[in-house]
Amino acid sequence: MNGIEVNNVSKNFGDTLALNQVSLNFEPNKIYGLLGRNGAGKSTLLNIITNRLFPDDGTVTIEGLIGTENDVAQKKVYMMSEKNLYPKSMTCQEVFKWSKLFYPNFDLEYATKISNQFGLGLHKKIRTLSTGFSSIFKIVIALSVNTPYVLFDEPVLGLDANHREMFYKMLIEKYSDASFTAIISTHLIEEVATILEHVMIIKNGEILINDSCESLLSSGYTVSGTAQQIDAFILEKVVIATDTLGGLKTATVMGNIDKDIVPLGLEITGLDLQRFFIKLTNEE
Amino acid sequence: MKLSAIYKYQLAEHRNSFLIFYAVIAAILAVVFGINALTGLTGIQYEVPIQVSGIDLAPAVFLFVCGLNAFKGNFKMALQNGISRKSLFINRIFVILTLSTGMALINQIVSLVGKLLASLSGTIVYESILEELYAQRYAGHSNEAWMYLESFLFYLAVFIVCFSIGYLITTVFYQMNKKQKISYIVGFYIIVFVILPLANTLLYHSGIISVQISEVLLRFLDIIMGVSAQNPYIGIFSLLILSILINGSSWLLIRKAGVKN
Repeated sequence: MNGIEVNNVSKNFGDTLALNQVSLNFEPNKIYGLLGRNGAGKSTLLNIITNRLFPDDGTVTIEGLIGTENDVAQKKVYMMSEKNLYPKSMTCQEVFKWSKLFYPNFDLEYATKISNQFGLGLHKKIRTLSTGFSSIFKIVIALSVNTPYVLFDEPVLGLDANHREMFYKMLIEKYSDASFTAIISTHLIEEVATILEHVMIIKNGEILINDSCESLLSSGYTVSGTAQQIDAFILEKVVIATDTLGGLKTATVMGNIDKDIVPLGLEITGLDLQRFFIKLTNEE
Repeated sequence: MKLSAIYKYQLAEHRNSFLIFYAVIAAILAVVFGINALTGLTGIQYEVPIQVSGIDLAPAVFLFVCGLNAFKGNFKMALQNGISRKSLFINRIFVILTLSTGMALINQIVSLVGKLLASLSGTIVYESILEELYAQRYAGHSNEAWMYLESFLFYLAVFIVCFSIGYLITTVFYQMNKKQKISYIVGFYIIVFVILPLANTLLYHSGIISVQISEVLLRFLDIIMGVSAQNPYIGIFSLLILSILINGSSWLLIRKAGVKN
């Protein structure tokens, strides 16, 4: 069981280098976060894994099988893409019916159940769905398809807070019932931070961070207190962000901390992944 | 499992248009023979018989249009469902063969019914394009079994080519951006309807060429279709070679096609 292996993959679109010698390994039964700003190369990478685009260089293997132009390998992967590839004249129910034919493990009953929970009209045509419900429609298929690897490209696009929460809850439930590999590509870090096991941060087609979420969160901390105390505390420390509100200040600091030496009145919490991401991806 | 799913999917895409097409054909035949029957009852006599011909080529036009609409949507659906370009293309060939075989068979039934009704009416002449092209060969044999077999094979080849041309055009267009598409269409019309006739006339009348280009093309078509030789098998063979070339070109375009944003 090798999972999905991406080996030295490069991709250019004209003069734009979308991916530069990217090497990654998505292990079985883990939830990955593929984080990056718009245009960082997240969708290109997922499109190459799912054979929608060809790499200029490098290979992708899925459980040891070459992923490019390989039906057997691709049968193990499902990608919920930002762009809709289903015929717009079809109803949601018709697409579910065809999905069952393409993916024999597709759970039609579960798809119907969660569609009702989301309030998705099964007899609606794809073209009539709003941005949010279009995302919901694709989420329903991705959660019902039961392939070992499910790739979510910007899954919560256009979803309101309730539906976003429902999605994360369903994803966790599904993962708890029968583990699979979920790769969530997004730039909305704060919401997914709690469900990720492993984080990959991509910038300008290159992987900046490829680490477990736990390890990443322990690589820094957030300290808050009065502005005076914080300013004194962060002297000679690697600070990636600060926030001031009235007399209170919060600083995101990289590195380890000995909690015994923290001055009284300061509060230490875990690293803010979103701030860490912004700092990393903003650096030139 | 996946191979058959994409085959079923691509075939199902044509189901509604197929049913509508044959409903229209049935309606046309019903109107022609119905009007003829009614006028027969009223005692009106025609000076010349009603000529029904070319209906056998209507499926070729239908399949050409089907081919034009058979790539983009299916390609996206295939990629969404983990189907490789190779499986998509192989199954597309099976779909072309299925549709062409089915429609060539229905063509024979339509032809048989048409001729039967024509013979009953006595005022309608029902002829197929095949009988017009190879008139000497089929003179006096228009209802014999071997003629239906040749007709089936001929239309099968014609239908395969027509669908394949449509499919090739749509795969070429898929690779192009908007400007390229416009240039391609405009360029095609300028070459075919302006440059070629102009060159034909100028070169011929200035004595540079002794035979008109259009004449050469017609002679070429005559030879490859076996019209002068009155041998439809030459035509069938040529059409099969042509379909292999067309589908080979389509595959070259599809094999590296990517999803478009």
